[in-house]
Amino acid sequence: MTGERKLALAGREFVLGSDGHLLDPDDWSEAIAEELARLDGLELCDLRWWLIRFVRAHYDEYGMPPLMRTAVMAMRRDAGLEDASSQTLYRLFPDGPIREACRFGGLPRPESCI
Amino acid sequence: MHDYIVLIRRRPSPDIAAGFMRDLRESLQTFRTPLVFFHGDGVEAVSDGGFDWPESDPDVDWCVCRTSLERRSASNGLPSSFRVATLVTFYQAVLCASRVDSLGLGGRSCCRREQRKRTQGASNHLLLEIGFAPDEQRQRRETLEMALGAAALELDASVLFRDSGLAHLAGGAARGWAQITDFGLLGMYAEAPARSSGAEIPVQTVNAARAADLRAHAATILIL
Repeated sequence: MTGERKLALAGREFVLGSDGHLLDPDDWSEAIAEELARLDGLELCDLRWWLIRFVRAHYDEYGMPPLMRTAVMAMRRDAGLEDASSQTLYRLFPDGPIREACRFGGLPRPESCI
Repeated sequence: MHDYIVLIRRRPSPDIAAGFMRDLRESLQTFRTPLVFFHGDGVEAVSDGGFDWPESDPDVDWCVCRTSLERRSASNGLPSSFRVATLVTFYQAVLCASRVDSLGLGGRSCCRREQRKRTQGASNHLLLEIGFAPDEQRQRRETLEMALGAAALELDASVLFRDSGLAHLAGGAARGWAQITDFGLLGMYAEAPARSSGAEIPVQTVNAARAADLRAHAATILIL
């Protein structure tokens, strides 16, 4: 398919779509997330991992990724960052916090225009 | 800033289409800066050639929801006077308009609502009223996205489910709505005669009198 590329890791190949998201969500592992981040020159610190896991859990529960507003609320409540804001999320992933958390988390690219 | 907003979420059904188009043309002439926003199945009414939208009127802002278009792979088929926009565009316009009309998923009835005069301290409450069952999953999702759009922008808004619209809250597909109550994003109500609305998620069941009260106190009502 046009635009697809392969990600090689631990002797296996995984297929990414033209948008950089895993085509098969069942292929995801934390090792894949780390590798995707390494290729982007990014280190997955604890807070980035927190957001990735939160987005994955939200997707599992509600069938879609969270609003940024929801992620901020949860970050204040659950990650101990009382001053968390949308700026906090953008510092983690400047190219779009929820979208990037979905990509690193093996989830489809969010569809919504909000 | 737009003074008149029309939300179209489905092509007008054949039995009301002529009257709807006539009323729309008249209303568009009445206001200085109208915006017509096509969302969900409404975008199909733009490209299928069945409606003669008065697109030559230079004062009308014809907008089509980007995500709705992409889902229907219709991005290349817009008339030149139409532009792609988002729910952010729509809701920002709604907050400032003096009248908002909405044609919901039923495609049959258009709610026409003069906005309350905006005085200091007056409510800006937005009521999203859902009275039609979805035909398929995409309609479910896009109706939910209208509500999530209001939540994302932290609007003072509530959702009221009634009649066959209660079907949005039934079954496994209702779980998307649960995020709204779980995180307190919007008020959620189900108008049902008995105590139980049959909803799978925790919404507040209200009677007809309370529902009427919700409508009376809303500055804007959108029929989804």
